[in-house]
Amino acid sequence: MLVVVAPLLVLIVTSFAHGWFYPRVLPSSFDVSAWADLFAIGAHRDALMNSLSLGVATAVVATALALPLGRAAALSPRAVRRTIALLAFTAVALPPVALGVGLQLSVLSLGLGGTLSGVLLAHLVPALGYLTLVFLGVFTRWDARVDETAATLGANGFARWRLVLIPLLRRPIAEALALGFLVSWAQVALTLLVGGGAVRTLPLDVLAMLQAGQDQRAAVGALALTIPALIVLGASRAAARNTPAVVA
Amino acid sequence: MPTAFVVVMMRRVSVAALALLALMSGCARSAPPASAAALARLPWDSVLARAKGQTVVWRIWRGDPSINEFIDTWVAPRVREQFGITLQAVSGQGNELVDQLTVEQQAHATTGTASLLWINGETFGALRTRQLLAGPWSNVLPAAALVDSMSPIISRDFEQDPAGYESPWGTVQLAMIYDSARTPQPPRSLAELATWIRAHPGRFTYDQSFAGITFLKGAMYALNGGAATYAGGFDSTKYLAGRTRLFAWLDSLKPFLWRQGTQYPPDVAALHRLFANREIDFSVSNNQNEAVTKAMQGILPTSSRAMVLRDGTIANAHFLGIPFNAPSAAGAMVVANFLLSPEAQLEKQRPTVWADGTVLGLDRLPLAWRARFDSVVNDPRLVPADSLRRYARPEVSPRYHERLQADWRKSIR
Amino acid sequence: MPRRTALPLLIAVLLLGAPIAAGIGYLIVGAFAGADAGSAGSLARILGDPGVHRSAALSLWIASAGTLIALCVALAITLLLDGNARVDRIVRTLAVLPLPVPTVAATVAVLLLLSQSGWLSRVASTLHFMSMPSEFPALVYDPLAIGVILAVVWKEMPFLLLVALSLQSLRGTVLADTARTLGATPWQVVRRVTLPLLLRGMAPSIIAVFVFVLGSLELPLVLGPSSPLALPLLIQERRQALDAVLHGDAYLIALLATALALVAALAHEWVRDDAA
Repeated sequence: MLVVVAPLLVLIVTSFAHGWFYPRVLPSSFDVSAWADLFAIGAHRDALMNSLSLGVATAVVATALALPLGRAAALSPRAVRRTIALLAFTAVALPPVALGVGLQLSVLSLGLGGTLSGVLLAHLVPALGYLTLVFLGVFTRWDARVDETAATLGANGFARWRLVLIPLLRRPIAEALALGFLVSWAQVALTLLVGGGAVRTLPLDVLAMLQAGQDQRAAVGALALTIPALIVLGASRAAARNTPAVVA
Repeated sequence: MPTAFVVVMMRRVSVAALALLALMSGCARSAPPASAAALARLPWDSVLARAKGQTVVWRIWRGDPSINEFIDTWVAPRVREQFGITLQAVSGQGNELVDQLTVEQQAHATTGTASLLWINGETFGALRTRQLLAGPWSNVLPAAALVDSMSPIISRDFEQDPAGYESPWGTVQLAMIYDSARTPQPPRSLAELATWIRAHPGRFTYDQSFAGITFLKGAMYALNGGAATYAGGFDSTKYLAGRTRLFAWLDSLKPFLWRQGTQYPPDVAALHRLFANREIDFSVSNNQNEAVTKAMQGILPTSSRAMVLRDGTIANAHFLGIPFNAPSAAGAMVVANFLLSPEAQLEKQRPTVWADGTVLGLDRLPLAWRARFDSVVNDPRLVPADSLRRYARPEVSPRYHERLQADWRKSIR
Repeated sequence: MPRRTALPLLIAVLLLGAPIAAGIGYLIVGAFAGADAGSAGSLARILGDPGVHRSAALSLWIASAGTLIALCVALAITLLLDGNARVDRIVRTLAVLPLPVPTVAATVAVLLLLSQSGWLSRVASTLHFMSMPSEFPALVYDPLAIGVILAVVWKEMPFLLLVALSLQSLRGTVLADTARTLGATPWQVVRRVTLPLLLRGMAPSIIAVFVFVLGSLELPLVLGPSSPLALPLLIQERRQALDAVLHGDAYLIALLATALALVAALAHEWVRDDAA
């Protein structure tokens, strides 16, 4: 299990280490300036805020779109369902370097080149792909009798969603939100290509620091990137534990 | 029925989405902003007036926190206070800029995002060739009169004439960095370096990007009769002859390089990392002052020293350009002018700030300023200013750099 | 097609298909008809370029080895969990820790840990096993991309483990128990019941991991060798080259990478269990 935590430990120690070179196993001083700069320096703060906004927006929009799409796909004939699943996985499988070029040009022609909205549109592509597959899976295993029972009991369309379906879907929705967030949060290539360098996000910041030799700051950035991801995943699993499992 | 509701919602969403898309693309087409060339014909006061309230997005290399700090915390507040300009420095350099602007040009984006660019050399060449730069404008800046226009390093950008399409900002000179604790007697010439490499296998390499190719260019000059051989534009015959000698020299050294010359670090930062952590004993930098500034940042050991080879090292200047579709060209011109001011140039040269060389002709400044500039360049860890000048070699046509990089990638890497 | 099936398909085509078409479309335009145009001759040249072969081979090697090793570790842990709930839960929580770590953060960590002057090497030198960085194996910037593969295993094993565990809890035990009662040895149960069941259920996830690693930019950027250059890096380098001829090359190579991804997508859909 040391193998699992060793990389994270190295990041933590490096984030506090100024001038730490071979062959020293421990840094000679404890320096918090890089951590302080994460919040003190506007550029890093902006990157953090951009990443957060993109993550939340991607999570919400992708979930809102993927849920009905996945459900409709699950209820469709086999050929339609498989086509939609294929499209969804392709959106995920295309190498970002290849997809990003095309998206960059599309986003530019929409006048959104180098803007946060443009990058959001790019992040939505793999996010929508992942989440459609997730909800397709959920609704394929769905017990349709829940639906029909609610209908028999007199609930109309919207009420049925609100009172029956959404509560039962709390767990998959929580997981979808978390996954959608993480897809955007960790994104490097798409942001780089579509944002054209004008949109700063935390992962790009980490790369920039590393490519400038600023290992201490890169480690701080990497941890700042990891900790919220751990929290988001932990929260979604906690939310999942508190709801009845929908899957038979 | 369950699906009826889904169908209705989907239809509503798709209609709204299409409407939104139409709206957004409609909003994108607005009148193109004033060009730098047009503004250059106006009196400076008009430019200042127009600049007030503008936001200037400046694309720079953001890889160095001290440069970032200088721009974000020293330059930006001052241009806001003195000229009412909001300065935002974002990442973007070299090929990335050319790439981005080319795409914008092809997409007919008459209003881009960036108004100011930090460029030089082949980037400038590529941007000029593809007509991605606005201008001419830099000669009308009031501070342009203070620039050391006699210097071959400043008046020509890799032998290209800025011709008013870029304004000079700073100068650097390639240097080797060594560790005085590990290598008390470093080699002083290219020949001595080659001997050293053979005597210390696996302890030397260079990087794949700009600094590495500049080092190779310097070696090519030294092996072929000096920089003067390559002056006067790109000559394919001379290049091929020079390349042959250089590659033969590299081949003879290959087994003695780090990883037997089969792998090369991706950039200067990786090279510094190898050097600082004792994997190799030399690093190369385009700015000799990194021996001091990087040691302060904890990236290089404090025993690092800079040196230049007696065969000469390449010195060049870096500049500021304005893209063809700059939204705030007036603001960009005002910022460029401010950056040429003696106070901005002096601040930039401080070792605690950036230690980037000035482009100003000190003889054009009042005596008091001259004294202040002289006082900031005396650090024992650095190469003394007169040595630096003696061994400085100007850049030649950017085509040499391009060809060398392409050929190196094909044959050596 | 009845209306109720046409609309979801239409929406999916719009939301998913349009960006994909835009992406691939612009690549084709850039490769064959754009300003930096290639031609049919360029395609032949790219396909015959040994540099491109080496890059593709490296990327395929990284994806294959990384996915395979991650799979083996995930399966081993799944099979070894003996049903002791407390130990199981501890192992599961720990093993899943790398799951949400963003790839770029993982690459930084692996660089600091496994380079020849990285932390492991420094420990080895302090313990007097070696005295110089060059004595430590070259795991980063090496032609076999071992550091990249290790980073892949660290990052992707938790995902495969979760899939395997969920499959086990969902369907695993009934058939295994039946086989045991019928007299099969534990090893036979594993070989003939558990493993095939797991592998079949995990097939889509395995393909997903493979294709993700294949297309990753940050893994080879930070840890990979310069020769050969991983495929995504080769594409980036040629796309940003100042010599415009190389741009067309970049688009062509990107199309090849896209073709690989499409094959993987088709395989994924073929093995995706539609009935469950």
